[in-house]
Parts: sequence; structure tokens; C-alpha cells
Amino acid sequence: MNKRKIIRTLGYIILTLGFLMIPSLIVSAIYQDGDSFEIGSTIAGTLVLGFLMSRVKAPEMKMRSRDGYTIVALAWLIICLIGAIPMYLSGVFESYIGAFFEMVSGFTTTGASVLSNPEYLPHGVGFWRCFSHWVGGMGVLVFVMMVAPMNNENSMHLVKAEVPGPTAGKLVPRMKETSMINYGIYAFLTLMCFILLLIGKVPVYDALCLSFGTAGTGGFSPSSVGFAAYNSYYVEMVVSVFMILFGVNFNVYFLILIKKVKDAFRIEEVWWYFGFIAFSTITIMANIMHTLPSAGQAFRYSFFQVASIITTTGFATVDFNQWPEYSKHVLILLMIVGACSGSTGGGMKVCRVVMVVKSFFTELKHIMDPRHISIVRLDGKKVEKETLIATRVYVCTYFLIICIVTLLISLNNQDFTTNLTAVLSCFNNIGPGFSAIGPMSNFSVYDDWVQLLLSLTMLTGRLEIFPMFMIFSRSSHEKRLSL
Amino acid sequence: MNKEDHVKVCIVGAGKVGKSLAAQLSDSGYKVTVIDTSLEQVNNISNSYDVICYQGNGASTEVLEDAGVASAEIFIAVTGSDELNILSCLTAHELGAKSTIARIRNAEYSVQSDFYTERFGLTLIFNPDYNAASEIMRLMHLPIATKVELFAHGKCQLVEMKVEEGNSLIGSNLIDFSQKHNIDLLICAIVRKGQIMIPTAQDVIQLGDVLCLTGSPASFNDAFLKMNIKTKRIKSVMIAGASRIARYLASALVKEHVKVTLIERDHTKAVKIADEVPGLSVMCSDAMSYFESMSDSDVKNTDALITLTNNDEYNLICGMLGERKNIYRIVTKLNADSTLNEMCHNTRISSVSKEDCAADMIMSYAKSVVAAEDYDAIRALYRLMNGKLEFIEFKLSLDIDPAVETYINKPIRNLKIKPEFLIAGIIRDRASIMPRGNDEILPGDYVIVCTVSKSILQLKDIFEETKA
Repeated sequence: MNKRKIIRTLGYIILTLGFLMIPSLIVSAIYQDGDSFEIGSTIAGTLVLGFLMSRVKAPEMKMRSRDGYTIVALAWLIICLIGAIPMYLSGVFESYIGAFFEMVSGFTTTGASVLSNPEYLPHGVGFWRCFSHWVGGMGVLVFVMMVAPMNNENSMHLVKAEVPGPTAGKLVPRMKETSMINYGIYAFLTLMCFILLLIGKVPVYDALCLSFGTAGTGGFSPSSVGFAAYNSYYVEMVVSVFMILFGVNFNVYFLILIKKVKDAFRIEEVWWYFGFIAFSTITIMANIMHTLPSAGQAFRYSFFQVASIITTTGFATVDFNQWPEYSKHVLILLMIVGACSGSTGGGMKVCRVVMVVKSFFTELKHIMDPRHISIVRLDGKKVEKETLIATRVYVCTYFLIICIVTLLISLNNQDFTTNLTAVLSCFNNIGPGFSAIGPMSNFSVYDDWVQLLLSLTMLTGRLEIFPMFMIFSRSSHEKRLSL
Repeated sequence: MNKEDHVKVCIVGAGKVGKSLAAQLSDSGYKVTVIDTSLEQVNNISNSYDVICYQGNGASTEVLEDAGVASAEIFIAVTGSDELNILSCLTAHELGAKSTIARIRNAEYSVQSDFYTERFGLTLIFNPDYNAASEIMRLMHLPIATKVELFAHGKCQLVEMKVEEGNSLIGSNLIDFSQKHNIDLLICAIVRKGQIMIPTAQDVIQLGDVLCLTGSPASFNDAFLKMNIKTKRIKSVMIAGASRIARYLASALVKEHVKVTLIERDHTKAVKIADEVPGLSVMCSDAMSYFESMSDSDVKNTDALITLTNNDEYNLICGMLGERKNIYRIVTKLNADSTLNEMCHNTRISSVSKEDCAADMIMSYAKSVVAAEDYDAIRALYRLMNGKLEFIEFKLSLDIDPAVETYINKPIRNLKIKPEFLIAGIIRDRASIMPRGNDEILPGDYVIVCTVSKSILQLKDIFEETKA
């Protein structure tokens, strides 16, 4: 595919981004706290740029897999670069890189912040910051595909690059409809969450921000006080339950929607996911019980925190940095596991963990008797060899990246726990880490260049490693026959 | 002139099954037409049997019309391709063949055989691999038997077993069998030194005899206890060869929580069957060398060895090796006409053949078509001892006329049955009755007859001609 075609496609994406910023302008207009001009001018600029780029004449060419990956990676970079402009213009951030970090954190649904007091943000920009979670959770490209008049023939490559999990499938024959169904389910669940939060007497603006953060499994809070401001068992339970719901593979909801409940219950990954949640909640509850007045309290904190970490949301109701070591270790492991594939959550994905564990046992059998034929099954079906190899490579690369980035940021001279959890937290799109970047502190402890590196780490984690490397790989720069 | 002479049978496909069917049907007097694409096969058959052959595609209307399918009573499609079989049957059905029978081996098709019979108008679908697997399953349930068959919707069971040392029956005659030992079974036939006989009351059971017993399935375990035979539940099975039979068998065994190990040499096939049958442990190796490499305790823990590769000789030798290693139960797959079957006599190896299962089914169907207008038609036919012994199941119509059929409503002891026949069981109201002298045959009964002679079509044929 030639450069013109890529520019044209990116044009549609930028155009869509411009429209996506309009709700923030409305919010800003309602609250009148002085950021309307910044947002308005960014929207205008974005729309003009997008319009011009989408007018570029490009020949009809087949999109190949690597084109898909390149477009997705470039699109995410550009969206974050543009999205950070109103944030920077609002003047709350010290540098553009800080604003960029915040925006990447928003779109990748990480929720890591460099701000110690996000309530100082003007409402419009604050809304945009939370709304980016909602857009990024389901995927920007998926959204663009749904609305833009694009050639849908080869869009599968785009979706494959953007949707988390080892395999991306269609629910219905048409990609556009698949996107619509997914977004429909997503929007409905978000609305439910919003209504239930309103019932819990959460202010409208906060309820909106929280439901976006929950739906995208992002984790930005509208204020630094966090959930303590509502001090409500009910609100915490609603958010916990919805975080878990958004961490479930969306195919489950689709199957329930088309009344194939039996098939929905057959998705093995989801059972493991619930199993991890139950196990972690109970053991952490037992572990922190002695520090708290009642078992109810212990359950409240452990359930919320487990749900928040495994779904990679990153909300915090309590400073879990102060918890006993066992609880902290469980949380670190949950960071790595992450949510289900095909959900809005990040991390390594439960199904990859299950596949790796299962292939360990088949390997063990194979070593005991090389004649033994054993196959890895998921949902009762054989996992193809290619998928298994890809999964193993993914998991290895995953840990390799964590090691390398941790090593690099160690130059900034923070302690090991901080560095490791910062990388884990960014790479898995969670938000808070431990030690100096615990839930009650923020990423401003790091220098600008570390923030930039961590921003790229977040993008790499959200797009599941490969697309980001596609931009830098030489083969995608090769001069091809182009007009 | 026999009734069969009017019945025209058309067989598409001159493979193993097609050939054996052509031979048996033409022996029984049917007018057989064979269609096959291979000229060589066609010549081969027309030279060996008294049938008429056509060379061509069995699904082409032209060929079928030439072969006179429109007037065929029975149309059988047994080519190597399932799709062709179905298509041939559909075409023949449209052209006017009365009943159509298709062989379907692909499991994905054969699970929907009801769909084919109901919507496509096919009369009968049979899957020889599946039937053979069910037969082996019955052997696994009753490991003492060398052959197990079910009659009348599973209400009556036929078991062939060898009298081994320690059996309490040795030395007793048939009167003792039912009175002293109080066993609620019937001995239908005794095979002694290769000779089959329908026993009389005075015959004495000897060591080494092979008995054919019938009775309700539930009564067998009790009977084995009384005979002082220890039956062992099969818990661990080894299967050699990933054939279609093996697939059906392995999934049935795994469902019953039996530990199954399957050995297949070909890696692709091994992976395929491991994928298709969850819970099955598959080894990629040569069965024989795997067997050699097994430790003694592993061999001891194996209750049954089933050899199902495509190579009969290999199957048998593997089975013999198993017998040497004292494996409790051994079943091998052999072709029906294979002389290797002789080798299984006087061993603990039972042989199973796909072609037998298929031929039994079609022969009984063919006979029932002939006798369809009779009140006492054949419903099913089973053969033991390489076809020397037949069990025939008759269904008596409810509106049978006792005045015409004189055997109705009479105690069996008063009936004059020809010496080569024996009434082996009566099924009435879904329950099995052991026929004793006082029992009567009533309209609506299923009657099972055991015989060493062949070709009877009606129940009345087993009685001496009464001169009225």
C-alpha cells in the first residue's frame, strides 16, 4: 500500500477524532471555566487537517496485514499527539510531554497521571481526559470503521491489530456491523453504570467521568480525593461489579444477546477470570483482615482492589501500598494476568496465561514420553499450533520488554519496586504502581524523557506489542511500487 | 420359484462390501445389478457371480436408467464416497427405486442420518465403522464373551462364550443347566471341535465347548456368577490404529471413564484423533514396538487390547502378542472373508469385521422386503461362527390369523420344530421370555430363531409340514 493511501486513511481517523472532541466542548461551554477556546480551536484545526488528508487521492489497493498494523500504530500516535494539545494549552501541565503522557494514558486506558490534583483541570479538558478512556477502551479504529465511509474489504487487518487478544473474530459477516454490535453492548453497559452511579448520589460530572473510566477500564478519577469523596459502599460495589463486567470477553455478551447462553458459559477463559478474582479476593481479605475493624470492610477493600487491578482499571479506594506483602504480591501478579481477551481491559490476557500453563503440561507429558501426542484445548477446541507459537512468542517478548524498559528507566534513579511496577503498570495499562508511584502519588516523580518512554510503553502494551514495532521495522519503509 | 426371484437389487459400488453383498444376495436368489466406475471391478464381479454389471457413474440418470433402477426393489449405494452414495440414492429414489440404502462413513454425516431418512426419503443409512465399534463396546461390557449381539431393541442378548477350566457347568447336561444351576438362559448352540450343533436336552457340556447363550441382558451377570466365572470390569484399554472404528470406540469408552491409550504410527492421524476425542491419550508410535517397550506393570494394568489398523495381518499378530503377554481381553479387526479368522479359533482373540456388520444389516433388510407382505416377517438377522450359525428375529403381526398359522397359541412342546431350528427367545410387551415347553407364541410377539440352515423367510418355515 502506498503512502497516499495511508495518509487518506489517517485523514478519516483524524476527522473522527475532531468530532469526538465536540462533547468536551459542550461540557466546557456548560461549565464556562475558560477552556472553550483551547478546545474549540483544536477541534477546528483537527477537522481541517483531517478533511485535507482525507481528500488526498489514492488508488484503490489491497490492504495487507503490515499496512493494517502500520496504520493502527500511526493512528494511535497521532491521536494522542493531537489530543494532548488542549490539555497543554489549558496550562495545568508543566510540559507538552506531560500532557502527551496524560493523553496516552487516557487513550490506552491506563489511568496513570502526572497530575497531583486533577480537579484543577478545567471541566472541558477534564471531561476530554476521561472520555478518552471510553474511546480507547473499545478501540479508536473500531470506532472509525463504524462511522467513516471507508472501504471495508480489508478492514479485518486493522481490527486484528487493535483488538486485544490472540485472535480477533467477527461476530457477524460484516465488520461494520460487528463494530456496531460491540459498541452497542459497550454503550449500553456504560449507560447502566452511569445510571446506577447517579442513583448512588454521585454528581453528574463525576458519574460521567467514573463510568467512562470504568467502561474503558481506564482509571482516571475526576479528583485526587477519589472514592473517599463519596464514602459509599454502594458506589464502590457498583464500580467493582462493572469493572469486572467490562473485563469479560465481549463475545459472552453477544452470545447472550443472540440467546446462546449455553455457548456463552462455555467460554473457558471467563471461568478462569472469575476464578482468579475469587481466589485473590478471598486470600487478600484474609491477609488484610487484622488491620481492619470488620470482615465486611476487608471484603470491601479487597474486592474493589482485585477487580480494579485484574481488569487493569487502576482505581483505588485505599492506599494498597500500605498492605501486607502477600496482598501486594498478589496484586502485582494480577497486573500481569490482566483481563479477558476481547474485553476493554489490558494486561497479558487471561487466555494467554491459560494457554501457556496448559502448554506447559503438554510439554511435560511430551518430555516424559516423546511419543505422547497431547494438544492444548481451549473451550473444548484444539488450539492451533500457530496460535500457540504466537502466544509463546508474545509472552516471551512481553517479559523481555518489561526487563529492558525497567533497565532503561532505572537511569532516573528510583528504587526497584517503583521502576518495576511503573513499567508493569504502564505496559499493562493499569495506572498506579507501588512505592513512589503508589495509588496516592503520581508519575511526576519521573523526568520528561522517562514519561515519554513510558508513554510509548503504554501504547506498545495497548496495541499488544507488534504494531508499534511495525513502524520501526525496515520492511515497512521499503520503497514499493507507488503512484 | 422362490419369492426372491422377483426382487431386483441394484448395488452401486463394487468395493469389498459391494462385492460381498452381491455374492450373498445373488446366492439367496435375488436379481442383482452392480454398477461401478471401474471396468476392472465390473469385469471381476461379472466373471465371479451370477449378476449383471454396468460400468458408469452410479449417480448418473443415464446409467441408472440403463440399469433399470426404476423397477428395482432395493437400491444400495456403497461406493467409497459418502456424497456419491447420498446423491446416487437421491437420484435412484426419484427414478423410482422402492427403497434406498446408503453407506455413510463420515461421522459428520452419519449423525444426521435421521435427517436423510426423513427429508431425503432414504430408507436406511448405515455406518459400518460405527456398528463395528458398538459391537466392540458390547464385548467390553461383557468381557467373558467372544461375541455379543442385541436383538429386539436391546431386549434380548446373544452371547458366545467359551467353557474354560473351573466352569461349574462342565459335566452337566441341559436339563441340569436350567434346573440344578437355575440359570435363566438358553443354550442355543454348542460348538465342539469346530462342529456346530443345536443341542438336545441330553447333551453334556464339556471343557472347551463354545456356547451360544440367549437371554435378557440383565440376567447374564447373575448367570456368570452361578457358572463360577469371574468377570472383570474393563478399566484400561489400549487401541492400535487410529481408524474410524477407533474413533467411535475411543469416544464411547472415554465417555464411560475407561482409560484409553491409542497408538498410531502416522503423526498427522495421531494429532487428528487426539483433537477429535478429548480425554484420549494418544501415542505416536508403532503399536508393536510400543508394546515391546511397555513395562510389565503397564501391561498388567491394561485390561484390553483392541487392534484396528487397516492391516489384518498386523492386527492379528499384534493381538497374538497381547495374548502372549496375558492381556485379559483382545479384539482384532479382520476382514470378513479373511482366512485369518481361522487363526482366532481356540485363542482368546475375538475378531470383528465391518463387512459382516454391514452385510448382516442389508441381508436382513433384503429379506424383510421380500417377506413384507407376510404376517411373520423377518426383522433382523445376525450371524455367528463365520456365518454358519444364524439368528433371525421375526415380528409377528397383531392381526395374524391363528387358523392359518397353526403354531399360534400352542405350547411350544406341542409344536413340531425341524431339528435344525430352535426358538431362542420371545419378546412380548418389551420383556424377554425364555421359551420353555409351556410357553406359547402369540400374535404381536417378536420371535428369535436360531438355525444352522439358511434362507428361511417366514416363521412358519421352521415347523414340520403338518398334513391337514
